[in-house]
Amino acid sequence: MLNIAVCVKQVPDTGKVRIDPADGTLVREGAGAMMNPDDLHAVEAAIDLKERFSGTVTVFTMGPPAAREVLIQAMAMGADRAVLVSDPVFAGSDTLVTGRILSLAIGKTGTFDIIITGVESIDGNTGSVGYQLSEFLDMPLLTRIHSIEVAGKCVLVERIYGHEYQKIEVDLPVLLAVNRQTNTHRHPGLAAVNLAFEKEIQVLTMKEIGGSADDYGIKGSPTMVVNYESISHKRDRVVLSGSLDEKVDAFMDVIRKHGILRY
Amino acid sequence: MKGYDRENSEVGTWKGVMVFTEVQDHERILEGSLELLSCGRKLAERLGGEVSAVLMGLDAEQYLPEVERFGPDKIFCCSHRALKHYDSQIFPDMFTALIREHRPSIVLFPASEAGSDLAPRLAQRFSTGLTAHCTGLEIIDSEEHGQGLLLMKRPAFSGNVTAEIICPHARPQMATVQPGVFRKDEPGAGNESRHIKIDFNYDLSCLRIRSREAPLRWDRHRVPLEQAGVIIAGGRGMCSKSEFEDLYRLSDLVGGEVGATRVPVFNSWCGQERMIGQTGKSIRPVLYAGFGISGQLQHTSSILDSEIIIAVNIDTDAPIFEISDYAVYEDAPRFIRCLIERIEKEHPPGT
Repeated sequence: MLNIAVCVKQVPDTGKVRIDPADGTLVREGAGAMMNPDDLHAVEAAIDLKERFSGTVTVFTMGPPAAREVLIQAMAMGADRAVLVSDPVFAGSDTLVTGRILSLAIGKTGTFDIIITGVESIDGNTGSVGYQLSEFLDMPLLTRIHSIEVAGKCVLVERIYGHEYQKIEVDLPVLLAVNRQTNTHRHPGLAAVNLAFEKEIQVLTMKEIGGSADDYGIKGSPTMVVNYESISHKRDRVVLSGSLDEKVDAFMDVIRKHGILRY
Repeated sequence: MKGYDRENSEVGTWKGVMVFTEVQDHERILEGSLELLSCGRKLAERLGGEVSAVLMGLDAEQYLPEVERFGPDKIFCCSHRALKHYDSQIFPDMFTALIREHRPSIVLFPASEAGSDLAPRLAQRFSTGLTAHCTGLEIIDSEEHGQGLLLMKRPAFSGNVTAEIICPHARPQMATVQPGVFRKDEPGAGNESRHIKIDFNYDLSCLRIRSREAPLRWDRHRVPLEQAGVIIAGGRGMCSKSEFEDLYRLSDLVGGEVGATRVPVFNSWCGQERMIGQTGKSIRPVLYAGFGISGQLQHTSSILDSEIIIAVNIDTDAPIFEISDYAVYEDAPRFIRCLIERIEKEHPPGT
């Protein structure tokens, strides 16, 4: 019986996030919320392992109370248990502190054989949390996985590593980071979502995982964002017009002007 | 688990810039590492302290002359069979020892597969900050946070925003940097780096990943889009594989490389190595010409460093036109056929 954990994150629709011009802070209101796309593949990987090798899947998320939505979505996909790791002091945590919080929450909840995360979030875009979790939990991290089998106390994995296609064997417990190149994820039906709404979600606050306010959030994070800049990439948009031939002429003039196709 | 050490006085005792000088696959020094050696020199000139290169690989000594050309004050060199490929246990352990002993204020890594594994692990071990995929680095003096801090810029929110980040209290300040952000710069004759040999005495029996079979070479066909001076890119508007293939003819005529958005790759009109719009692959050609490309953010955020952007699309509302220097409202395959014909007429092959 495998004990599988998945870490997911609720993220805004990154196309809709705005910067407040007054002070350079992020305005997330109105930006919508969804499960980070890579994390959908993480949940899928967990459910797939559960279905093939039998076990239970516990899904974790660190976030504000609204992040319950992604836990419900994961349970609708087939996760058995959900843990919301939430406390106002966690807000503003960078990747290091996030990794620390998740590893403490996982440790407090159980002993897991396989822990799965997405590779990168669409808001932070760092891709660092998986590697830092690997250090906090002292487990090897496997990425770019083509296939995975569980054989007793180890996993047999085929993966791409650098310029090689490898077949490797690793003792449990292991950490996996996955994305859309790993699998195609299922879409739960309405009935499954409704059932998931009924399930209980365990909440872990700072009190349960330990430590003090200085260890978490902005205070506890070694990196800090001093400014956000919205980028305008507008250019002149000079229209090359006329007949097809005239447009081609104009195009060639432009590229010649920039050193291409000179005589 | 304790947080990082907030003792400000500690910060002053960390000095210099250390650069992960990655050897790729026993073949070459990664271009991005050479760029970071040049960047490191500029940072060290501003801040004081030395630049040290960390070179680990099989027969690593063969790369010493090349690394030396980019002016580090010191090169830590370790050579061993087990270092031929990056390893998630060996490299972090060895690098940790170097950081502990030499206490650099800044450590830079190329945002390669190896650098992106190594950097966060080291940051965790030192409970320090890592800024990944940086697109800019500079030194700032802040009244509030301190003098001589590394300011790290990186895209966030899928490229909609640039975040400016500092790591005021923890050390070292760490950054992984996209290739092509900094230019390589050889300081000229007369630079001599001190070579410091590091012994390899790692206990290989504690490696946790065991090989079941000899690995197969997985050669992604290398298309050097990041180095191309001219990029001819095609998207959905190219309509079919055979029309997409006209791009290769055009590209040959203008001395460029062919790129693509997701649609041609998903439709198997070309291979994935041509896709512009993956994480970490950004291009900076003199000319980018996009044919039948509407301009989804994932693609356009990777082309913004192009000197000139020309877009050809029948849809006058295509978002790509917002970021174009020149706009052509025309059916892309038709335009390309006419363009190729014209170029071949005026520059017949063989002249």
